[in-house]
Amino acid sequence: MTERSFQELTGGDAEGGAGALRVRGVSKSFPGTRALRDVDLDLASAEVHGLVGENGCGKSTLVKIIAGVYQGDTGTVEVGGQKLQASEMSPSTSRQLGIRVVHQDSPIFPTLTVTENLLLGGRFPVRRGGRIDWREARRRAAVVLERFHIEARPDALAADLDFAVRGMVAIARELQDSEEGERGILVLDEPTARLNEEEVDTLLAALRRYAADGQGIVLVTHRLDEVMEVCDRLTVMRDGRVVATRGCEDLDRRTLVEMIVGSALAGEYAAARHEVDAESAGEIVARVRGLSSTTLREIDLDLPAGEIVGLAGVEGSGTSELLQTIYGCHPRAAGTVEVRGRELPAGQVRRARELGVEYVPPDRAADAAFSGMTVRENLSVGELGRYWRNGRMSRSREAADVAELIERFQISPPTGDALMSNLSGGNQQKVVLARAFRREPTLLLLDEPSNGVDVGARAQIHHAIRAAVDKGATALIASSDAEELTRLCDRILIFVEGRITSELRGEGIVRDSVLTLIHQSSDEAESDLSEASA
Amino acid sequence: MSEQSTQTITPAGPAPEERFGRSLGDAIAINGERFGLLILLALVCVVFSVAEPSTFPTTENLRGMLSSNSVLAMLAVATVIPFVVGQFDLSLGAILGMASVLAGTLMSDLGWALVPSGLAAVGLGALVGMVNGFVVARIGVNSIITTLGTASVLAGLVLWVSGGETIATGISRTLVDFGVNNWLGLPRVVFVAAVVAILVAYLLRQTPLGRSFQAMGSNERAATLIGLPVRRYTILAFVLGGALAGFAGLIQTGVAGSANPNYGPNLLLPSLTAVFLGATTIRPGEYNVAGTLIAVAFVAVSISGLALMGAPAWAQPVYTGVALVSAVAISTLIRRRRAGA
Repeated sequence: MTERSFQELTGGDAEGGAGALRVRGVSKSFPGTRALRDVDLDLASAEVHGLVGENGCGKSTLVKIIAGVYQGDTGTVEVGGQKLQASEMSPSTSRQLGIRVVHQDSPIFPTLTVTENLLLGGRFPVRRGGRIDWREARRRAAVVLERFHIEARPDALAADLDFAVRGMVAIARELQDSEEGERGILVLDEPTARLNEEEVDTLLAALRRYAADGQGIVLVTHRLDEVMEVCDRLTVMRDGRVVATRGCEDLDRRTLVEMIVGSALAGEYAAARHEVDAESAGEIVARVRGLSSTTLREIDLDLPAGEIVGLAGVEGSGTSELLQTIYGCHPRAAGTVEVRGRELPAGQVRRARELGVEYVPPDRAADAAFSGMTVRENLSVGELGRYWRNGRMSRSREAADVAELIERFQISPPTGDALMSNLSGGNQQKVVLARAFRREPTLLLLDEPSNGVDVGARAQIHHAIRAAVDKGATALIASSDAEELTRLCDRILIFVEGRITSELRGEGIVRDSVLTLIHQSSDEAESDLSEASA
Repeated sequence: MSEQSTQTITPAGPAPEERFGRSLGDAIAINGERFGLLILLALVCVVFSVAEPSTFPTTENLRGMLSSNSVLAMLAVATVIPFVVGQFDLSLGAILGMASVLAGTLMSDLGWALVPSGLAAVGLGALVGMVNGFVVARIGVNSIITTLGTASVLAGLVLWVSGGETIATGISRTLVDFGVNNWLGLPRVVFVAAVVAILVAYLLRQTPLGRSFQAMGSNERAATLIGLPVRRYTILAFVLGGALAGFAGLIQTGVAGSANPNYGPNLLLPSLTAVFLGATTIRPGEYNVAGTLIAVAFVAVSISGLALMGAPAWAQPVYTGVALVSAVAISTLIRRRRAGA
């Protein structure tokens, strides 16, 4: 699109990228659904504005219209006096309005250096003959890194950076062309989805700094704590409409959750904790002795029936690896695992499942979902032998079981014939969990069970875990969300560098202690332990 | 490496943003895609019948097309099996050729009877499949590279065994009679191909093994974590495909009455075309047996019709290539429009 036609579209007088974003009356329909109805959104300059809502509430659609990926059916998008019809949005007009979008899976190329990642997209300085001027390229990258307070060397490989820094590089790539102090609009779609708590803090601090420089920021996220921490105001969406836009100062978590879900929330806090003490604990379901692996150092564990045990630790502390090593999908260096008195040999996933062990991996798309297959096929893939009757697959028996699971786990849409890839992330996760829970497992190994799932679905998932455990199972849950662990678990084990350094029970289960303990160095933890035993 | 290869050959399923509420327009689009190739096949038949009324719509021509394409159909159906588990097998054409030459040599030079020669042909296919499967599943070599290599090795061995000559004498009478005679007015090999197709379709759709194959093709890592014996099943898929290709080679010897060392490798591209085309129809986005058969028929009818209309020999490969790319392109466009993007 040429400069002139953009002028015509906006009705002339461009004032040059100043300030606020104003979305008015945007609606959007897809075949069979109305994704957005008459949505308004206001972003002041120098503001961090949260955009929250359940999966499928329309926030992603709204972001895509603002980014010009989709065109709205009605409505307008206005930035600093330049107004466009939502139906005329395109990626280039969106950029010309001064809008910069960092999508959820921001394209950071792990095998390229920071410099290359920043300058991709036609920004490489070129010498005669088309050769890249690397010295100049590195210099420019260094300037950008400094300006955005990013602690990374221009020559570092992106793969070697932690996820917060990668996120900041992605943001800096979008913002680097704007003049310093120039005010644009930055839209971030779930920038913290894969970060641990520490990395989240780093990134949020960076966002506050950018906002202080006059940048307007729209932050789309599932993590409510972080919304309340960093945002000035927030907009809640539900069923394609805006429910409310309000300031964050006097907002408590519960009110926010109720706005998102649309009703008083019975579930989230009701999943009452069991006070399991050593005497009243049930029969020991699983016993781990001296388990070691790449990270793990001689882990001993006794897991009684009826208990939900949380595993807390920073990335690489061994929480995920413990689940994988028990299940058999990560090599075991030493140690034994017993389930209901029977030895579980290393590296035998099928044997583990025969003994009633079920594992739910953290990366749903890569490791758990069969996205090209139907919900029915996803649910029965681990149980195919059960439906093999008289030389064929018994569709009727399978359909009956599937209908029961869909009902029990409230999977939407309520049909086994829907393709897995057509379900929202939360519902896909429910399918994955339903598959693990359907056989009344003995030992549940859940890694980030409510990863990327909205509040309502999260409460249902927690209920399902508690229900399974009440039937005599035991659950080991690794989660990077300390809030979730404290709400759900009867006991929390703190992992530091492959060792269990402390254990929280009952009243001791407090979010702050979890966060403090997981960040202790192993030396500190050890001195604590020896003091305690002395 | 193996991950990438899985991605490249997984046919794009319906786009994730497809909504559930289906309007009439959506229904037409979906069914249009599902039966598009069948409709096109009917259309092509009508066009050639009108253009060449004296030669195309005749029982003779029908018999000719059926008997000369039954072997291709079997080969294409064999190719579907490794495709479903997410692996390419480019050596099946070469296996067919090798099996044909082996059976011919055993019968002609060594005077073996039909049954042991046939078993040897099938066994050879299974053996090559096992080698392919082992290298792919146990060592982790990309299946395209592996089977391309195997195909070249087999082509070399065929040249060595046959000396480049077609084996035309000493072929079992029973086999040749079977290859050229009719049952119920149709070539006998058609019935064989039908039985093979039904068995493979049954295996893939109606048995736990087939469902496990599909799961592996959809997400190999998730299949491993669910406890499926992914490596063993990958090898099994190559073995089944190889054995079927070997069997098709035996039948080919009967149909032709001879074992031609150049025949098998020439079937590679047509069979791949049929499998890819087949994945755009009946069960769009999935490699499926019914779609593959329709695709074989479509390509066969088109080529026969063009030949009858006097098209030169070079037109056939051109037509096959254009048919493959445009059919896949059309189904991609339908899908993209349905996604509303």
